[in-house]
Amino acid sequence: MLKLIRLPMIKRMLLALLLALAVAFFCAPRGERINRALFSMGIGRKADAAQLQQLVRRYNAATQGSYATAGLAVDELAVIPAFPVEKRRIYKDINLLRVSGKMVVFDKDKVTIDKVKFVGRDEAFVTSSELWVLVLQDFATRRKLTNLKASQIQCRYHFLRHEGAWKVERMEVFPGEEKLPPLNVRPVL
Amino acid sequence: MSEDSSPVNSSPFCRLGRVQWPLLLLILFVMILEYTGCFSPPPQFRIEILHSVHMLVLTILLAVVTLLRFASGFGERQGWSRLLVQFALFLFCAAAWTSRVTHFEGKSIRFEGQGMQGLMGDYVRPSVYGRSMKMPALGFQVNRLRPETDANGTSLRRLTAEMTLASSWSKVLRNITLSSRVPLFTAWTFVGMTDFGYATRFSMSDLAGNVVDSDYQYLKLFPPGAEDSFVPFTYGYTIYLRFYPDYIDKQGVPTSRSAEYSNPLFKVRIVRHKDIIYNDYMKIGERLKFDDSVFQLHDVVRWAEFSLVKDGGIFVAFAGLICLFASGIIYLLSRRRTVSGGRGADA
Repeated sequence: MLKLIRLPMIKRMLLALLLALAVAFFCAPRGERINRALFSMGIGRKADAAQLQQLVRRYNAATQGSYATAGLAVDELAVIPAFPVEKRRIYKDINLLRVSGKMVVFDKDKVTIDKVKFVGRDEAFVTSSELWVLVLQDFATRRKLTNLKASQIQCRYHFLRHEGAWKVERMEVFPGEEKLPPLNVRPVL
Repeated sequence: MSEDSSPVNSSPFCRLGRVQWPLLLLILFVMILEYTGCFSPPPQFRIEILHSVHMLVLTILLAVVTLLRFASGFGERQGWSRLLVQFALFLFCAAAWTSRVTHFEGKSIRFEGQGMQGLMGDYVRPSVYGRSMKMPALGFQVNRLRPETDANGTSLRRLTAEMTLASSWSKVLRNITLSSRVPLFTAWTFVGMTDFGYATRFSMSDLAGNVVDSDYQYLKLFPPGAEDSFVPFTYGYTIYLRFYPDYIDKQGVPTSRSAEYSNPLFKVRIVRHKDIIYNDYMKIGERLKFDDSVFQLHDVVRWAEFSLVKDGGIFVAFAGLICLFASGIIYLLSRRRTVSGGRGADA
């Protein structure tokens, strides 16, 4: 205490800053501290970005498979890297189609990842330009009920990291030629 | 003779100051680091930083040093300006402790004609935070919302709510006008408006006309052209909406002349997974048939988000600010007296 009193002012301020870093570090949850500090310095983002792009491919493949089998393959549910709300939306749609005796088959023609944007360490948006071909079929006979339809779209996948794993919280679809609306909608007041 | 060992700076008041100011800086640095999320995600409610255990310990330390400094300053007959600064610092620490015990905040979204009873169910559950969880003793009915926009209708200047208020501070119901610029203070609670948008009722029916799904959706559709979406409970479609209350086409760009419902129009986009089923305009009441279903948008009402904050620490902190202000005034007056006294001696 006496030595602290004798230190010049600048040194005391630096000591306060070091102590603040130590307090903030040790009061943070154990698993988060180093990862978050590294993320703040930009370390590890490339690996996360690559993982997110891989997850977009996995999400598209898994949902494509779910629609193609009209949701009858139960193990597809676990494979979709999404939160339960998003999975529920997909299965509601597939089940309603099946009840009405129909199914929709989506075929991926082209998916190009445009941008990966991190909002924080545990939140990210991936935007992509996609071309899909789809057709409505009879569920029992697989007979085509419509012609093939090309769907040129832009997608924005909202990812959240939950218990160490990235998952799709929401997927937004926009027409291919439109400008995407802004990411975060702030309060207007 | 070094600065630290000179007679003026070796008094207990000055020596304690060399501990106090770094301690105050430590608290400020910790708050900044936690607010910016350096080592952990910033809390959803920023005031939680002030309510944490380590903050409690640091403010107690600061308060002890401040009290010691105040006592030594009083004994050394230090000026009132310096003593008031110490008292203000102590009040700020006390404000943090008071806030820890009394803080409550929550948001309630109400549309025109809807009432708020002051019960937990009236608040948006994820927006509620409180150490005391004693909810404000007030309720209100939103009679009318009047947005004031700029000439283009794209930016909100002010929102005014005509309300009927019931508060523990008044025995009778009062009709009041609440402005978004000035919060209301009643029942020890600050009530302000923090967001605005439109709510529309949609319905999905089968081809026979039986309603399968129908509900109000609170959507952020302001300013005109802003897009929001929802997924009906029964269906897997995602429905994206944009709303123009007074639609006008300005050289191919859809926009709104004002916030009045003079020519209301929706831009609707209905999506099934990767397929855009419909992407065009719809009027209120118009029926859209697709996939063996009929989609319709009905009435549109305005909604406002009301933020209620009750915190005893605000008043203690305000008292501290008054002490700081008074300290500044006393210091300036004493400096003027010193300067004019010096000039008089020179003359």
